Amino acid sequence: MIDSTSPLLEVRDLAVSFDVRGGRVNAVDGVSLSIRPGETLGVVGESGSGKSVMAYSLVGLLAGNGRIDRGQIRFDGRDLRDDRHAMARVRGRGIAFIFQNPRAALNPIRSIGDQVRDALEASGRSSRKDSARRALELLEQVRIERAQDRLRAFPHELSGGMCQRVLIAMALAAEPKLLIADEPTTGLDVTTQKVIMDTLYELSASHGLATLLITHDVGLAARYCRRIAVMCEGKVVETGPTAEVLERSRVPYTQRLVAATPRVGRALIELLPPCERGAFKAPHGEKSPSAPTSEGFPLLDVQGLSKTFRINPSVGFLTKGLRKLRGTNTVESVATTHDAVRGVSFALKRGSRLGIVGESGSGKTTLSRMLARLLDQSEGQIEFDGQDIGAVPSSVFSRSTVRHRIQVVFQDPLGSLNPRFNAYEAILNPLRRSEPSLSRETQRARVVDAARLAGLDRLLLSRFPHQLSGGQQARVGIARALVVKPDLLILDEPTSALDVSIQAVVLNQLDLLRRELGLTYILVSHDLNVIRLMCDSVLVMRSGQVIESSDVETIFRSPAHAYTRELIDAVPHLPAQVTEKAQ
Amino acid sequence: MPAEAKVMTRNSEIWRFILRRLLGTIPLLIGVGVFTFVLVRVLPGDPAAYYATGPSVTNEDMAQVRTALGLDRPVIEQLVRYFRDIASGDLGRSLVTGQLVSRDLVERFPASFELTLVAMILALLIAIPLGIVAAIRAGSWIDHIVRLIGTLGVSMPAFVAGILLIFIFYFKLGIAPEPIDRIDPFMLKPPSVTGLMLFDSLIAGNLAAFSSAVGRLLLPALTMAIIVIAPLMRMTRASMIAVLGSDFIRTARAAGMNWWTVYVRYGLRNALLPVLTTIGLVISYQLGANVVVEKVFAWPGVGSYALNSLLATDYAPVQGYVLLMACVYVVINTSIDILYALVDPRIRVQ
Amino acid sequence: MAAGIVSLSFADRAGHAAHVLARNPVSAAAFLFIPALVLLAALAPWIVPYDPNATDLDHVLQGPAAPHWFGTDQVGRDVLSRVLIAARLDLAIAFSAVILSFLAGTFVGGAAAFFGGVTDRVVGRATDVLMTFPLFVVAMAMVAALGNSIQSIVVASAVVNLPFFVRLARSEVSVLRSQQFVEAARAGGNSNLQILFGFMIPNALPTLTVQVSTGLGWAVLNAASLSFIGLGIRPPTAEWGIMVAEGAANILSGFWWLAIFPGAALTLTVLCFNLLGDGLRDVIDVRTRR
Repeated sequence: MIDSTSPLLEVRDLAVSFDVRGGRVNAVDGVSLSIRPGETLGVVGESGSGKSVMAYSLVGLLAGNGRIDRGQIRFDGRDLRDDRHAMARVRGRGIAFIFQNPRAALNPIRSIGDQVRDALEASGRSSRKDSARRALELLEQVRIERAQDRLRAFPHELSGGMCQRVLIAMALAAEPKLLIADEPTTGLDVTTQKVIMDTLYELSASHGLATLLITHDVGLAARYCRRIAVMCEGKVVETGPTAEVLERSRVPYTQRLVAATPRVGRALIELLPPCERGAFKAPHGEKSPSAPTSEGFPLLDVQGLSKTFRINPSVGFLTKGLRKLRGTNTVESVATTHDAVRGVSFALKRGSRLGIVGESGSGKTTLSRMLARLLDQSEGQIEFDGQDIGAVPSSVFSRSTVRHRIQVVFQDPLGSLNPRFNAYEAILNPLRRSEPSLSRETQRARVVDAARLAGLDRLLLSRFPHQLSGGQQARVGIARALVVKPDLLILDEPTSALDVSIQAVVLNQLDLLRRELGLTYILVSHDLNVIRLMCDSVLVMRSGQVIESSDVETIFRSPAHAYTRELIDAVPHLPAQVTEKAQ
Repeated sequence: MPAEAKVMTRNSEIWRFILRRLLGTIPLLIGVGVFTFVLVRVLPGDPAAYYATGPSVTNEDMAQVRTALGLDRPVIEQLVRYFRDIASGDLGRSLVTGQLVSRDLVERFPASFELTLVAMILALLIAIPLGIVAAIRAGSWIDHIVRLIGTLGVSMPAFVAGILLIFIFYFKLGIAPEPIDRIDPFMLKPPSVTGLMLFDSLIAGNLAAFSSAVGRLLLPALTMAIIVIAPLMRMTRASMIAVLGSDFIRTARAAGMNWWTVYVRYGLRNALLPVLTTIGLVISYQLGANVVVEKVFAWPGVGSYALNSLLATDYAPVQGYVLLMACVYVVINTSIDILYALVDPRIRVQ
Repeated sequence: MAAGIVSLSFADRAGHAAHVLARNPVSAAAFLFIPALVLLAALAPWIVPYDPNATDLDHVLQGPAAPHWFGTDQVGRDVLSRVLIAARLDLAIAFSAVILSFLAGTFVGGAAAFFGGVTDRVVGRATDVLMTFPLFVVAMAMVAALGNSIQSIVVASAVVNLPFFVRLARSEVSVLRSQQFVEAARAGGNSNLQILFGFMIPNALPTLTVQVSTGLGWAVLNAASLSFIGLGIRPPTAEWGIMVAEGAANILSGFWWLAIFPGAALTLTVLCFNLLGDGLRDVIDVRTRR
C-alpha cells in the first residue's frame, strides 16, 4: 500500500545517452530525484543541462538514437524499466505531459475537440459516445471560452495560450497522478504565461496532481514550485525547498544561476559573480556621464510614426463579393489592412537609454525596423541629429552617409549571421561599405578592435557561425554593429535567445560599451527585468500604440496605466530578500 | 501572433476556397490559350502551312487559306477568333485522318486516360508502401536499396523501360501478350460505355475481354509507373520521417494513444498530404512520357495520335493535343488542390 | 593570426567530402563515374576502336564478342564505338542546355523574388503557364518548329529545364529574403545588388547545384527521347536515342545488343547524374551544419 508520504515518482541514478556521429553523448549522467503525491517540483537548468531529456526518458519518449544506460525509475510502486511496455502503459494514464511550442504539439489537420476526445479514449476512461461530452467539460475546466464552438476549431485558429490550454485538457483527460510540464510557457507572452501557470497551479491543487515543472526561468520556478532541483550538464547539483536553494545555496553553480537572474533591486553588475566583475569597470575611462546630457536638440526625434500593412487584398475583394451574393453575414470579414504602429512620438537625448517594451503584436519590432530605416513608414517623421532621415526611402538608405551611424543588433544570434561568412568577414562587411577606401591593415585593426570591444576572442574570428556558441554569435553581431562607430544602437531582444548566465555577461558588456563609447541606445524587449536594468526611460506599447511613456523607476513603482500594471504583475519575480543572501 | 479568429463553419470555408481556386484557374487557362496561340504563330514557319500542307499546294491555295484563317487580320483579332474557335470546340481538321481534330481526340482520349490512370494507381501502390518502409528503417541498407531502385527507375528513359519490359516479358519469358493495341485484335470488343476497356468489359460481363485488356495494359502502365515511382517514394519517405519526428506525434504518444491512432490516423494522414501535391507535379511528367510509351506499345491514344500527326507535318492535331493536355493538367491540379484543402484546414484560409 | 582569417581551406572541404563519400559508396561511385564518362566522351574520337559510321556488310548483326565488344548493328557498324561517340553528343547537348537554363533561370527567378511586386507575380504566372504543358510535348513542338538540328534540341532542352530553375531560385531567394542576416546586411549598408549577389545567391548555391545535376540527367533523357521519336537528330548520326530506336526494331528478332547497350548507357549516365545530385546535397548541406 502506498501511503501519502512515500514518493509518487522516484528516480535513482538515471543516465541517458545519445548515439551521434562520432560516438555517444551523455545527456543525463546520474540524476536522482523524487516527487511526493500532490507536490510541485521544479527542475531548473540552462540549455544543455539535460532536464528535458530526463523527463522524456521517464515515459519512453526519447528520440530513436537515445537510450537509458542505467538507473531506476519507480512510479506509483511500479518499476518502469521492468518490461518494455511498462512505460507505454503509464503514458497518458498515470503520467501526463505537456510540451513547449503548444501549436506545434497539436495535430494541425484535426480539430481540437477530436484530439481531446482521442486523448480521453486512449486513457480508457471514456467511450466514443461519452467522450464528446467529457471533452467539452475538460475544455471548460481549462477556461477556454465558448468551448462548444471551439470543439470544431483547428490549432491554427487559436492563440498560443489557447493551444496550451487544450494540451492541458488532453493531459487531464486521463486523470493522471503526475503531470510533467516541459517549458510550458516558453514562447508565450508574459501575461499569457501567468494565466497558464495559474491555471495549471489551480488544476493541480484541485485534482491532487503532482507536477514536475521543467524550466530555464528561475523566477517561474520560484513562484510556482515548493521544491527545486538544479541541473547542470546532466547532473543534479542541488535539490531542496525553493527558498533554501535560492537564498542559501552553497553550490557555486546555483549561486551563479540565481545571481544572473535579473530581479527587483539588483544592479546590472550584480548579475555576475564577484570574481568576474572586474572586467566590466570601464578601464579606458567613461566617455559620457551615465545621466543623459542635454545638448540642445535630441539625437532622435520621432513624430507621429505609423505603419499600416496591406494583407490579402484579393481575398478581401472576393470575400466581400461572396457575402453580397449570399446576402448573409455569417462570417467576420478578413481584415484587409493591419495597423502595426499608430502615431508613435518620442524624443531621445544623446547618451540616454530608451527601452521599448510590449508583448507580441505590440508593434515594437516594426517600430524598431522603421527607426533603423529597414522599413518605410506609412506616416510620420524621423529626425536623426537634425537630419530628416524619414524622407529617405529604406531601399536607398544603405547609400546614405547616415547609415553607419544607426546600427542594429538583431534578436536571433545565429540567424542574423550570414552562414557563408566567417566572423571576421561578417564584422568587416559593414566597414567596407561605409569606409571603402581603408587599407587592409586598417581594416584588420578596426575589426580586431570591434571584436575586443564586444568581448569576442580574436581566435574566434576565423570561425563560421555554426561553429560558435550562442553567446559568441551574439558578440559577433555586436562587434559588427560597433565596427562602424555608430551613434545610435538599436538592440532588438539581444539576449532573449541566450541562457541567463550568458545574458548577464552580454548585458554587462553592452553597458560597458555604452559608457566607453558614449553610445545612445534603444533596447526593444518583452523582458521587463532586462529593461529595468538597462534603460533610463521606457515606452510601453500595445497594439501599435504607446500607452505609457516615462522613466524607468516611475513605470515600475507606480505605473499609470492598467495594462502596464498587468505586465509588471505578470513577471515572476524572485523575492527581494534573495539579493544579498545568495552570495 | 494571430488574433483569435471567430471559428467559421467548415462548410462555408471549403466552398469559398473551391470558388477561389476555380476562379484562379481562369487566368491560367487564358495564359495557356495565349501560349499555344503564340507557339503556333510566332515560331518560324508559315501558319497557313499548318492547315494547308499537302502534296500539291499552290500560292493561290495558300493565299486563300490565309484569308480564310484570318491571317491577314491584326494579331489581337486573330487571338480573339482563336479563343472563340476553341470555346466552340473547333480545333481544325486533321489532314491524316480527314476528321475534325476534336472528334479524333474524343475518340482516342479514353485509351490514354485509362493507361495513365492505371499507371498512376500502380505507381502509388508501389511507391507509398516502399516510402513508408524506407522511412521507418531510415538509414539502413533497406532504405538505401529502396532509394536506389527508385532512382534507377526515374533514370531510365520511358522508351528504354518499355522496350526492356517487352524484351523480358514478351520475347524471353512469353508471359505478356503482343504489344499492340488494348485488346487481342481477334477478340470482340465490348460495347463502349465509358471508353475504359477495363470497365466496359466488366460491365458487359465479358471476362475474356477483361483479362486480355489487363494483359495488354499491364506493360505500358508499368512502364509509365516505373518512371515516376522515385519522386513519389522520396516524398513519402521524407514526409513520413518529418511527421514521425514531429511534436504532435510526441503529444499523441504521451497521451497514451494506441499504435493505430498515432501512426495511421495522426501520422500517415498528415504524411500523405505532401505526396498528394507531388502527384500533381509528377502527372505532368507522365503525360509527357505518355507520347513515347504510346509509340513503343502502339497504344491507340491521343499521344500516338499527336506524334504521328507531328511527324506527318499535320499540325492542327498537335495544337489540339497540346491544348487538351494543358486542360487535363489544370483539371487534375485543381482537383488535387481542392482535395488537399478538404483534408488540411490551414490551406483554406490562405 | 593572418592564417586564421581566411575561409575554410580546400583541404578541410576535401576532407569532409571524402568522409561523406566513404559512408555512402553509391554516391562515391557516381562522383567517380561522371568525370570518367566526361573524359571518355571528350576523347571518344581518338579512342574508338572502329569508325562509328563505317559500315561492314560482312559482319552484320554479330553478337557481343571480341573484337566487337558490344556487337555490330544491322549494317555492320561497331556498337561500342557508336555508343562512345554518342556519349559525346548527348553530354554536349546536356551541358549546353543546362548551363543556359541555369543562368537564365537563376537570374530571372532570383531577381523576381528579390524585387518582388509585379515582376514576381508575372514571372510566377508565366512559369505556372509553362508548367501546365507536359514539358516533353513543348520540347517536341519546339523542335518540330525550329527544325531538326542539334541547336533546336539544345534550345528545347534548355526551355524544358528553365521553369525548374526559375521556381527554385524564386523559392530560395524568397526564403532568404526574410532571414535576419539579410536584414543585417541591409543595416550594414549593402545595396540591393550587393545583397542579392553577396548574400543570397551564395546561400542558394547548394540547392541550385543539386538542381544542375539532376537537370543534366533530364536534359540527356530529353534529347534521347526526342531523337527516339524521330525529331531533332536524325540517323545516321550516332546518338543514344536513335540507336535505341533502330535497335527496337531488331530486338523482337533476338538481336538485343543494338538497343540494350545504348539504353544501358543512357540509364547509367542519368542515374549517375541523379546520384551525384544527392551526394552533392549531403556534402554541401552537412558542411554548413557541422
